[in-house]
Amino acid sequence: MNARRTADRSGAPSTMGGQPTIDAEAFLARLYADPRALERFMGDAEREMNAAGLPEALRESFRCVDRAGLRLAARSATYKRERKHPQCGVERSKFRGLRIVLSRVVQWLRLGKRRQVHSR
Amino acid sequence: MNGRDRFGFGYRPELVAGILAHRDEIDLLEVIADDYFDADEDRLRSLELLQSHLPIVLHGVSLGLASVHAVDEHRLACMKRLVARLQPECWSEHLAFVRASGIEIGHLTAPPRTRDNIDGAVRNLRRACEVVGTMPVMENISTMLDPPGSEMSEAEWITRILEGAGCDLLLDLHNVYVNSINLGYDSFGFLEAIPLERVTIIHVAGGKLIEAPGGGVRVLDDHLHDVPDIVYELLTEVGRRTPKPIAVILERDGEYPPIDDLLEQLRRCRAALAAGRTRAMQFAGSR
Repeated sequence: MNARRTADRSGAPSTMGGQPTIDAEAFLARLYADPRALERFMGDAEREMNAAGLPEALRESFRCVDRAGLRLAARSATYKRERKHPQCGVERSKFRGLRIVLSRVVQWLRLGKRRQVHSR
Repeated sequence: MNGRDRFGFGYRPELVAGILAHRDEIDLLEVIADDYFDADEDRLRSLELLQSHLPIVLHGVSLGLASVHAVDEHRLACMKRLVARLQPECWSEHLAFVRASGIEIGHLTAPPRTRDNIDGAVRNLRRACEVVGTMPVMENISTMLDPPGSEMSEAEWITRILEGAGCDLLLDLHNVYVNSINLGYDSFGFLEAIPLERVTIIHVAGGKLIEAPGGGVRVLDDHLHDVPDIVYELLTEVGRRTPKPIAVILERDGEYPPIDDLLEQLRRCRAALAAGRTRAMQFAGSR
């Protein structure tokens, strides 16, 4: 699955939330975030809903979904992810330490080069 | 918020020279908070320098508060730190979900409009207020499709969340226009159905018409185009319907025109809102 997964804490369903809405949000999120899941849904909606274990109560609304709108919305979401929209700010922070170390190494190498030039 | 209408830009680093050169025409800036969640001291100081020239408000894009899923505590803590540091007039977020059951959408997405979702949103908003210290102003979002599983209209859903949590509305007028085309409703009728007395900030922006697979057109809220006429008309209507002071923010995320073009759009916003205010006064005077 292409969908990026967050830490458990951020994705944990609220214990008070109604299960159908939890399922609907999760299934919709999957269609937006995972292009392969979207294609499977477009090809055979019943099979994808079965695979996701979507409750029967929700299925009719997904059967009737505006497919053109869903495809455009998913495309827009993919575009935003690839553009590294500000939403990705926290994800970027995971690499912050690495970036700092790398930039210091580069600075140190440049400094060393300058010293070599001066000492000549 | 102050006691008069104000007008400003969504701050983007590409616009900084033009903004500083014309700060006499700009009342405030809206800064994307998430861009500074992992900012080092230098970047925070540069933001404070900007703040010394113009008031700022913070705008979050990743909390995903309109969800049955609990808000991400790490992101909330980041927002809290930034708000504590900059002490903006207010901060705002979106009536959207961006993740669910561990799946990261990476985009502001309209959730199924259910009673459970409203309960979740209200819970998340109260938690956000508890952590950050103030309630966010919440923005209506654009969508390409009516979320499956929805039990009510967008206007009713927005109203119930705002009333449940007791928060103000950041009314994005381009999103109203976009949804009126994409979902097929009347944008002026939408304004009648939401609590305009809760509007403290307005967003204006531009997008483009796109062809939908299988025919028909939709509007994409890409923030890459000039503000369309209909948005100014909606702004006038808001001015006519509510006397409350409002901060109007023009959003532009790329394909930047010369700053004079953006300033001209800001002037049109001033004129449009003022026209609505005038109409309201004339109507009151004629009674």
